[in-house]
Amino acid sequence: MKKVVLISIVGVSFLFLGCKKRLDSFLFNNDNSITEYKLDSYGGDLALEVPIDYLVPDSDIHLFEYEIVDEGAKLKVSAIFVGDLNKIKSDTVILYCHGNKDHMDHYWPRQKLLSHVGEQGRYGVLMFDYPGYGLSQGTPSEQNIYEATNGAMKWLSKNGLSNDRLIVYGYSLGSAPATKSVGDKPFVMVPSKIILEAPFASSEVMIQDAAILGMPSSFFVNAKIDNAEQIKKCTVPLFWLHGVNDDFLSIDSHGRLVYNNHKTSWKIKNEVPGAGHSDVPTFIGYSDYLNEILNFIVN
Amino acid sequence: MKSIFNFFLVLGVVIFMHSCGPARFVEPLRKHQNAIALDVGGPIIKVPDLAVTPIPFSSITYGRGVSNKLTLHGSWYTTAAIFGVAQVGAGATYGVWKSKRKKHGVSTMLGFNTAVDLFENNFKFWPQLDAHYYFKYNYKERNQEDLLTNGRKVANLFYAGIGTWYELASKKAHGERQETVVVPMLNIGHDLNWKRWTFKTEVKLIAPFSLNEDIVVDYFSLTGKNGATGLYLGLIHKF
Repeated sequence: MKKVVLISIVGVSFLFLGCKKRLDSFLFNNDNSITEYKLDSYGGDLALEVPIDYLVPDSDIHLFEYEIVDEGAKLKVSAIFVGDLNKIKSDTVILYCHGNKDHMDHYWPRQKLLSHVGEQGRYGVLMFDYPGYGLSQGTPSEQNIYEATNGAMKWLSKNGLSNDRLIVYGYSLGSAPATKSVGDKPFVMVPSKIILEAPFASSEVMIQDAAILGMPSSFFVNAKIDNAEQIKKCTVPLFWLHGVNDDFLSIDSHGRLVYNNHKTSWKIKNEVPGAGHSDVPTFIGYSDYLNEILNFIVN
Repeated sequence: MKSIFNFFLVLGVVIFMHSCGPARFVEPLRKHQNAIALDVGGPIIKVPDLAVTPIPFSSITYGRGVSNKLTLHGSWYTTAAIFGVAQVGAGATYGVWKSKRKKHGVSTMLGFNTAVDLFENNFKFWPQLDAHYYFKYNYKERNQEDLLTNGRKVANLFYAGIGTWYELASKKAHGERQETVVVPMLNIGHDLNWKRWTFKTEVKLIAPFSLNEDIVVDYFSLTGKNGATGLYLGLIHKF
């Protein structure tokens, strides 16, 4: 009887192997419970608190959808373009890839802020929700955040934007599609410059930081996000911003590694004293932050 | 911001779970004695806006006394298996010293952990070396079976000791230099013994000299900004 119990325990525990649970889905802290984007009227948690000075006129706000194909299924992706649609064919556009939280309402203050680079409306700023975020259909995955980024670039290209006038800005999780766009270059457009704020190096680094021992990321996730390697293939200028006090993605093991791996074009950096993971623009000061981005774009 | 990264909380905890369980058979088993142990527990984490809680990860261990001094044991990590990772730990616990009345003792454990995932077949191997001092108290009356064998009394047991894992890889991800070679732990535990059953509790101070800041997991630690504190419970059946 004891042997039967023993064999049963061992057998069942080995069967757990069949579960093959993965943690990828937890990477995306999305909220798709909204029925509309509220932007300035949004009452939820915001990525930044920006003063009224950074208001955007309604005429400059363009909400729209585009379609992507994810594993054979068509998905509608929601996006917001801030600026003059007619200027896309002649001026520079910033493509903003947001972080992993909620949806575009949360990041709306950041988009508003970026639309004031130079002056309000100087550059167009496009932001989009990854599948499963906000009103975008689907369930987020590494692959479909790339598809959504590619879809945004297709829309910009269709509206007359050329590679030399596209700047990609990746914040936190958004550093993955941003870096991919200048690394493997799998998308319809290749940005002429890249801005990375609080990027992560790779899921491998995240795991090893937490585990002390060097555990492979494949023990937990299927995600192949690897900004530290992608940035090695980048041949366009880089502007890297990172909070020195970032207690989530350490500036040492994540940010500096990405920055140091960028070697084939010029680059600038701002390691921001006092800033954490989500408040780099606040610590720089909004005005200085916008000037730094402007200088990078026009340099 | 951290609250939005529950994924990494889970991730980090699972990672630490991979690396540890309670001390195995601090007092070696008797010759030809067998034991099965079920352990749950892990490092205590702070989940923002929710709780400070140990996460109940689990392992199953089989041990056998080769002699009165030497116990061989092997563990299967059930929570790791759920993530498609086959993790096995094995070791030998050796009783190096016992007081005359067998009230005190010192044992060492030399072992290893190894894990391989079913997705990319990535493999990890890390050795472990522990040493524990134990103190027995509250001797209970001899039972008939013990009289017929070696006459050992049943007593509860306190123990304290040091554990170490060893990182054999010289490089981390992206070719970065691996600076951590030894990960130390301080283990303090108690075995509440009955005739055939033991209820184990253990507190483990994991990596008490390594900073736990600026990483994706909020560990609770009795040593403040260093390491993590683990809490483990175990049930052992001897036969």
